Amino acid sequence: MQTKGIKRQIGWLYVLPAILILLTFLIIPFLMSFSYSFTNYNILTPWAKQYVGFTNYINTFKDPVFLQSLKNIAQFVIFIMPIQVGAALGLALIVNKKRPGNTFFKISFFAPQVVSLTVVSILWMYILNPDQGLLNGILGIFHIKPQPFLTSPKQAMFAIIGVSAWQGAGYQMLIFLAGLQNIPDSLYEAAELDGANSWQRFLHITLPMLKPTSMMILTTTFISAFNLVIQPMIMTQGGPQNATMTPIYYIYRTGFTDRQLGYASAMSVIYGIIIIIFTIIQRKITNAGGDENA
Amino acid sequence: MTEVDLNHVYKKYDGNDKYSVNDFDLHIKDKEFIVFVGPSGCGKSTTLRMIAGLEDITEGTLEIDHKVMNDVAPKNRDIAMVFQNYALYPHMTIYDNMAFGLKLRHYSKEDIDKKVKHAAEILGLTSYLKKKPAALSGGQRQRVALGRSIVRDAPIFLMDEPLSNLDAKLRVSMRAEIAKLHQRLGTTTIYVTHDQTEAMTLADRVVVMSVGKVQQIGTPLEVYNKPKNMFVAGFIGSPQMNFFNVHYKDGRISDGKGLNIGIPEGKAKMLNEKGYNDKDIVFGIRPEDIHAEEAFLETWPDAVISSTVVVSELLGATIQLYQKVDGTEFVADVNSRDYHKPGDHVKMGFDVNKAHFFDKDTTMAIYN
Repeated sequence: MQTKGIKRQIGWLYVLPAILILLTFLIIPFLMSFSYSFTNYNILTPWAKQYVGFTNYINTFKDPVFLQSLKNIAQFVIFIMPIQVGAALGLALIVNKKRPGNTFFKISFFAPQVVSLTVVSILWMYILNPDQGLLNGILGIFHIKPQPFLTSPKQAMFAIIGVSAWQGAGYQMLIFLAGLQNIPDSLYEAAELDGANSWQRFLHITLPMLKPTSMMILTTTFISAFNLVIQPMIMTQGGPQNATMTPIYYIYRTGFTDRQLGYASAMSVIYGIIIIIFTIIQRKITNAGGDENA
Repeated sequence: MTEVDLNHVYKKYDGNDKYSVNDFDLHIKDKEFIVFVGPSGCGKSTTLRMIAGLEDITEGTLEIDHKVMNDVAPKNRDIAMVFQNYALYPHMTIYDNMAFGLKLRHYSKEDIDKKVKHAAEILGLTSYLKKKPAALSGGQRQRVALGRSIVRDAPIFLMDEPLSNLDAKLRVSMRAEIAKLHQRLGTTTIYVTHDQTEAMTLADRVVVMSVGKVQQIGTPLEVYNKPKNMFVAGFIGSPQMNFFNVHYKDGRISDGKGLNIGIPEGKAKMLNEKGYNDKDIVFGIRPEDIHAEEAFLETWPDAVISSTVVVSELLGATIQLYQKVDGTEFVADVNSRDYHKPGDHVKMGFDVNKAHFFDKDTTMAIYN
């Protein structure tokens, strides 16, 4: 009995580092933020913290910037999913065929992934600069008039979507590539003899065989899209006219720039719940077709 | 009527110096069951894939019903193929796997249903139609692969080592099913295998291949009884034919060690006529043509040698005696009544009337 007890204690010792890290960076901050959300906590005057009940929550739903940020993130999620995942699949299909210079293309497509998001954002600010930017220069060659990009409330979010997809697609391309290379050649050959042309082979073999990979990529893209913060923080500071303000960026700004930690905590709790709900829905949809390849 | 002609077909892969298939020339008759057999890398699968259109033909022509097919896409060749790993679509049900080719060819729903159900009935798959391939055993999957070919009513079936992923028992029963299927459908069939038993039992004609070259084309009995060269003689038959390097002189062969036997007059005459008297040749004899029965030893005393048993494998009706005669090893397949244990000194009689003689340098049979 004693050895069993010691064994159990040693077991706890193994999981202790993980527990400590989770407690310090996840559970305790979450509980603290949950308790702050019912106060008027200001970082500059922590001693004056008072319980305010549901005031912060009520204010959140009245806050036009927060509501705008929810709309913005919805727009981002809806567009980034097909664009980034589609681009990743397209690139994977390109480099999956054996042709000269393939390694060069693989590295080129993957390169944006190894550059930090901050650097990527700054780089694209230059490219998208309305006056001297490279992109407007290229458009000029085709006699298209210069576009405002990041300075236009209508275009800014799409510019960020484009930059994010450019940065993220390379990594997903590699995952798709691994998926593609796992499809046995004999399936394509069988389909070819069955009379399938190349489009039908893509539709009836490639796509269904990539389903598990696609589901994994869609899920990770979906979850990470909700965390959009660096690109708008650097490229637009949430503007113009809050057109690129995202919930995380707004929570960060309210908490640490405006120092209203209590209010920011309430917003983070609400946003957390929203993400959980969407993730559950998304998982249900994914799992519904999950046994296809069983 | 479906005939297939391979006219001096060559295949060389990019970056390779050597031809993978070398001057393959064969006329396949309507309804014939042809088996390409040979060891791994002999070019048999490559040849099959060239017929299917999955590989380009480097030189020569492929004709189906006298139409050159070299540049015709696989789907337009009207060929059905069974793959070694079955190549079933894992995301489709068994029904859809079989119906896929018909759907792509725009058959009506009723037609597809009729054909799939008919094929399923022939192959005993009716109760599995709604299942996915992963839920089936190896043998059932192979049957689905066959079904996929049957529903197409294609005039040519290609089978690329279809039984090699099955266990020994299942292989025997599936082999019989394939034979039955061919009798029933009468489809021109080209079958690739490395297993000479499959080749012997299924084929109307066997094409024995080695290192990209056709070694012999003939009925199973022809390649067994009249092998053209030492490769065919050694490859067809299990256990394989015994070879002895011997010197032939005046009606006797001797390896200078324990083997010194007389040759029947007729055979000696042929060897003499071909100019092999007083020359080194290769003497080949199949294990079942070596006897241990007293009656044989007494009748042919000039063809008897003394040897030592090294290993004895009892197979039931027969026993395989692996023996040594002065350093040269050979195996005899004798009646299990003549059981001997390892270490026994025995007398063995060679049925020289059934022996084969090969040129030492060219390895070709001296006569057939």
